[in-house]
Amino acid sequence: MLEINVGENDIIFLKGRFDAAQVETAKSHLEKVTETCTLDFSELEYISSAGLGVLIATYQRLNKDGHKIKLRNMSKLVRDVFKFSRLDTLFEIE
Amino acid sequence: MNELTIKREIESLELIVKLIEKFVIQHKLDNQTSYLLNLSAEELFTNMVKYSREGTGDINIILSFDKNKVMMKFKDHGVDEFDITKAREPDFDASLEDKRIGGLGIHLVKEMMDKVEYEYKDRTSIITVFKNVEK
Repeated sequence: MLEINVGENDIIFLKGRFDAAQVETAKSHLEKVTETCTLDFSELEYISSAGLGVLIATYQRLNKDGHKIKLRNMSKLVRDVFKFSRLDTLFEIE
Repeated sequence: MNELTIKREIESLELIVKLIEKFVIQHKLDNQTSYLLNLSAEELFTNMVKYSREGTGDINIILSFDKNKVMMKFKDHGVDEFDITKAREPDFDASLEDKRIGGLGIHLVKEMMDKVEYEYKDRTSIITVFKNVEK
């Protein structure tokens, strides 16, 4: 299960599992984002290529208007998925 | 041995997660191994759902643990041959603007597991992945 909540300063908090079964849930939240945003992963336990696909699509949509996505507070295991996907150098990760 | 037979639909992912959770507890495996099993299982299974829609049968998953080595086997029945060990790598040179996700899941499985084997017989694709575990 994936939970997405917007906190202070419009930071978007993702909690739980971001897998193929959660793609539509994630899209419905992230499609509302229209400006540069920060996604907080401190409670994100898991992400797969399906989750990465949603993040990439969101980045590409925002980038057309000069906006971007910042990612922060990744666990080591989630960061490894970004690293092995070679996305760790493409996304801005705090 | 832990086994599961599931339908070729994304909703079955939840059953795979439960199977792996039980297996991890049973063999006292660490968080990293748990993550890698979840990731490999999801990537392999979703590939079967996406690219073998014509598949006529259910999908079997078998998990076993022996001599500090985890083995996970998928049997996909009634499908055309697709050797994932020879699958094309994603385009890593593409910028984030041009990035496509195709092939990334299989790449992750090959990178993060110790060994990936493919076998095809009687219209069944059999994919077996192995991970050595330090205990």
